[in-house]
Amino acid sequence: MSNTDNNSLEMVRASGYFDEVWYIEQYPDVVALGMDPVEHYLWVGASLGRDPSEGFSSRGYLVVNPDVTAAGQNPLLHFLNHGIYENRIVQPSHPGPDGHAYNPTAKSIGERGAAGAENGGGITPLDGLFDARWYAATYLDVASSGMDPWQHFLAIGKPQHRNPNAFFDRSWYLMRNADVAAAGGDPLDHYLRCGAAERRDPGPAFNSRFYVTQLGKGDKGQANLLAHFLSSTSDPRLLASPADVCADLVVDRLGTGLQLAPITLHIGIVAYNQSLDELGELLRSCKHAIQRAGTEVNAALTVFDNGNNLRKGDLVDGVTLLANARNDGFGRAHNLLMERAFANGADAYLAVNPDGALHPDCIRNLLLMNQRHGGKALIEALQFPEEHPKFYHPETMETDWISGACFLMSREIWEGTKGFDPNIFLYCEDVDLSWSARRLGFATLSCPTALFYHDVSDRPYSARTWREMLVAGRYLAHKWHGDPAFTRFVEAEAVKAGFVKNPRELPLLPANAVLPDDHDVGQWEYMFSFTRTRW
Amino acid sequence: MGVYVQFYSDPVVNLVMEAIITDVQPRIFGRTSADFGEAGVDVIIRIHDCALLDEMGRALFSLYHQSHGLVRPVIVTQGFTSDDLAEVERTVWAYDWTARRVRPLVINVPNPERRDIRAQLLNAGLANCDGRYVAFLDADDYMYQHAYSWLTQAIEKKSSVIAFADIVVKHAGLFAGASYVCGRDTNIFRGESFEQLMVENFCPIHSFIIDRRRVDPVDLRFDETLCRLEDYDFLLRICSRYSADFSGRHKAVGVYNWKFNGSNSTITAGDSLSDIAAKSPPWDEARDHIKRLKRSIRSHMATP
Repeated sequence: MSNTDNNSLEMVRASGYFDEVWYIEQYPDVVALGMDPVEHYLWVGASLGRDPSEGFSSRGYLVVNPDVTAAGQNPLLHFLNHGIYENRIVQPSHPGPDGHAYNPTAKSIGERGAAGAENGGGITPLDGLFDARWYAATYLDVASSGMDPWQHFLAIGKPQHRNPNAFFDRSWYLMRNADVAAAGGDPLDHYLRCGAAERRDPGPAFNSRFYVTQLGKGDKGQANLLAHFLSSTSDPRLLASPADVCADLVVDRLGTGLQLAPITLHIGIVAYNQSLDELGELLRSCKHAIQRAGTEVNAALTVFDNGNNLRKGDLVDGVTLLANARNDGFGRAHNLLMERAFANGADAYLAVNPDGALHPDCIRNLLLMNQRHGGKALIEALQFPEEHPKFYHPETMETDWISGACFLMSREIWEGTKGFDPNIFLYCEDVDLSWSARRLGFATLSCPTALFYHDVSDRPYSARTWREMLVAGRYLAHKWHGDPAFTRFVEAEAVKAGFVKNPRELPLLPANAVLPDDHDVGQWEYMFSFTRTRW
Repeated sequence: MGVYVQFYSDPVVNLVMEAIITDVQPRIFGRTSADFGEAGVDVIIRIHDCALLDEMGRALFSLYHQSHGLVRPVIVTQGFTSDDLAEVERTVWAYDWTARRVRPLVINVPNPERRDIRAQLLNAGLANCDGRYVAFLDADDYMYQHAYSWLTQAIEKKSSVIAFADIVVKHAGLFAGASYVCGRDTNIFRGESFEQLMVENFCPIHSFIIDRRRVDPVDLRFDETLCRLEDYDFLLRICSRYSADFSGRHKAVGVYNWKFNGSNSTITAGDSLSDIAAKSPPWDEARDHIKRLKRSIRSHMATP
């Protein structure tokens, strides 16, 4: 064996990127061959696309580095000799049906946003907390030592209380956790042993509670959120901390700095046996919000009475009253109002629930956001004082569906969707409308500067509400190719609650309602939240 | 809407910012101002920084829509300039208080030395209350619609002096004027008796209401030597002398926003080392004070 070969063997062994136990478990033929695992990897394994450890994908490295492939170099040796200093990306091993797969969508940490801009790939040991590239770039003696960053950390960095990545701050951790300081333990060891699982923050740049809001249901239970962040390769939009939120982007997405352009707005309210006090409160709030939106807003206000018990004199001046002899449901009534509004020249339609009130700046802020997005987004006002917990992105305001309690629809979206699905009597029609809009390429956004007062925190359980929810949810699953488990849950609940004795007694599901399976909307594992939630 | 403002230099002198009431005659809320002394709730909101005005607007939004109907904001500002006060006025009158037949008060407490005078602010508010009941609210928190209906009913039911309810915690940040809530916790504040209050404070400042008629005005004051735990000191003194009803602790009546950005006076996620260092000494001093007060209360309780 040449000295070069010996050097390579020792380099790989000491790198922290080769896990002998894991390698043998993954590739038992190595034992049968009686070969040293490192030698096997260097001479045979890499050319077979095998990985040296969970933290390094050989094929992944070659795919994103075609120059290495062209040169016929061993991927791990290339990374240790060159790639680590050239900010090249390392991806973890992803076992797949053909042996070892790679993730072609991998992004370097630097692509995740401002907080990670100075960081790169190279995440492997220390339960995923060691960032080799950041470590080498931060502690300049690493390069001059000629040591692999991980080995340097073990031999020198950790005893000298150096940090393993950009987000773990030993001093801060001790300051924030008096119990750790009092116990005299090592903060990094504490974090790895229990701090991460206890959702303690590793440093000021990583906020566990904030980060977890951005994760899907399956990832919320991650024991170590920082390790998840450092190793996550799927979503470059994940933010480590509120400090990462770009205020300029927020301002831009909200349209805050825009001059409101002239617009004709029709406001539609569907009432059903509302008290005059409640309705009067809402109508006054609408008029007040219109007034505060400015002279650019030409607004009309219409109440559609599904209960057919309002009289014109019951409403404040300037409000049009339409009535229906029977209650055809929330969606159909709004569809009539929308059709009327857009036929009469409306640029946008604001749907408002009858049991709430607008914030004085609600209309203005919704219109500004609508203007910013060129009418290509369905936009909801946030409910107050308790908003829906569904996730929306703090920078882009994107959300999977918008609530029907108070939302703005542009003419363009009306022309595309034609409003609510008339087959839905009540509930989930907003989810359906949102998915329809997204299927057509429109966005669905939350507007956190537009508030709709809608306090349901003191309302008791209503069996009727639950029944309508179940019926609507079952239809939604039918229409959108929902998970059969969701449908089974809904039908079982309907029986359990005593609404029907048998699921067959539930309303018939029209075959012509089923859409082509050409979409990716709908997250059925979240049940009636239909998307990941923040809490 | 026209307003005029009187400033005062002595914190015990009443001062007024009165709105000129328009001729709007609300049809729904047809109560008279005389009702206010009988059943009204003064809610004292202290605010020390104009940057919190957006958030105070939300607090006012929550007060405006109280089902109780007779709720008046008493806003106490800390050393605001006339420009600042004009901003406060705009924030307050974004809501049509004439429809509620209450006139919000704005009280500016001068603070030339730029000290933390949070207890003085609360006392300035208390000195200007007219309603039968008084409650407190920090500018960045808010109440549920049923809050004061529920609390006043609770206090009447047992003829108590002070009644408590629960508060929900939200973990929130504010980005370019947009609030983002990333977590919500219930059962953070655990406790349901004075004995437990003697161990630790589980009652945020907006979790209770006081019947002013049943309290000696001498006791209805905050200790102005404290700039931390002043509310705990106040509660220990009130609850050790008067009947306190903790039976409503299960009922959530409002929201306490715990900030990412460390603007709470408690140490929170995201605080820098300098933030933490600055926050610690006042806490230490206040804790010593509370220990002494607890010893005093216990010794009085032990005396036959």
